Amino acid sequence: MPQTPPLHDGETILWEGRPDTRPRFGIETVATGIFAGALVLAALGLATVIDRSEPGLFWPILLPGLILGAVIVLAYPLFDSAQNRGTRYVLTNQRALIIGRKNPHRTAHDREGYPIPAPDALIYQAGNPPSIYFGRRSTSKHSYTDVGFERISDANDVYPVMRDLAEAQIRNG
Amino acid sequence: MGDLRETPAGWDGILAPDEKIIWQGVPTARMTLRGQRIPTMAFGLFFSGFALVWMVLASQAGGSFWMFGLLHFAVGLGVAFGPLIMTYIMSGRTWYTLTNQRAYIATRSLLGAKELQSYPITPDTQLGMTGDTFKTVTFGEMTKRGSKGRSYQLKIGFRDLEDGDEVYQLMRDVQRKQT
Repeated sequence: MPQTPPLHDGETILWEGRPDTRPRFGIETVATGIFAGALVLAALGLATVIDRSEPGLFWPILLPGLILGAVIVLAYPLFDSAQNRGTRYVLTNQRALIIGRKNPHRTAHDREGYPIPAPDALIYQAGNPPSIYFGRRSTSKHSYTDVGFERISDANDVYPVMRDLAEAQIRNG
Repeated sequence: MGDLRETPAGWDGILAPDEKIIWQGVPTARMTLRGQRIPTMAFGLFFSGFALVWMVLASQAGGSFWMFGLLHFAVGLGVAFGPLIMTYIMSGRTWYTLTNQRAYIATRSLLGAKELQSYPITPDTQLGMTGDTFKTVTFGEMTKRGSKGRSYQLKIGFRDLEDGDEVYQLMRDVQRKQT
């Protein structure tokens, strides 16, 4: 399990946690499922046509299509689950850290931790379990992805803590 | 100040222990044509119109080749009216809550993601109100980055409220009670 980086002077850990490790079949699975369904149907059609002229080839043609379809549907949820198993989240009174496989180490914030955001940049996303987003990472010249503590079971406890930290920055100027 | 309500279901843990809801509402669903959207609309309509003319001319040659213009026609309509329709749809997926400490904006995206953002109402918060029939009460600003990398300021607030005057006064009361 990856280690927490050294803390700064005056920095204290307020919360530690990890993302839910159960495979998630979300909207991405719907997209890959449609693609996999089309692939299996194509394999079924091909197997039926060839089996008429060359009996005995039905399953040798359909089976690889079924296996490939299952791999396409299951690959992302299982990969995501494996990434979550190797990830830890740490919130301190100064920054939010994503430690382990879910951290791509592309930006300075990835490496050093994300600073406590302004209140309007803090987003609570409901779900089972919920997520808390506090930053953005550039994925290309004009697009970004939200960064945060994803799928944490105690989000309802962590969100008020992060919100209080964010608001304290305003009060303290 | 409005009635202090008990914490409703689903808000457990979100509200601070001494935080009470004093108002909840939704934006009025309507299509609002704002001035800055007119150039984009004009471009979209020109794009659609060009595709329409092309389809009419192509159809005179017979066959189904003219149907390739449908995609461009649809894209043009999307550019022209998409933002208007999206604003209308999202107004039905937005909920506002004012507590004795904060303003909350909850949204549900088209894909079903439910998000909540909060904004503290402090004595330093710059409150503003715009609009005639439907009022928009603003309480903050955020910097957004445009598609070409340029940044611009966007007012944060409760938009298109029927009872905007009352909400504005409630926010002023929240500020006064904190001083």
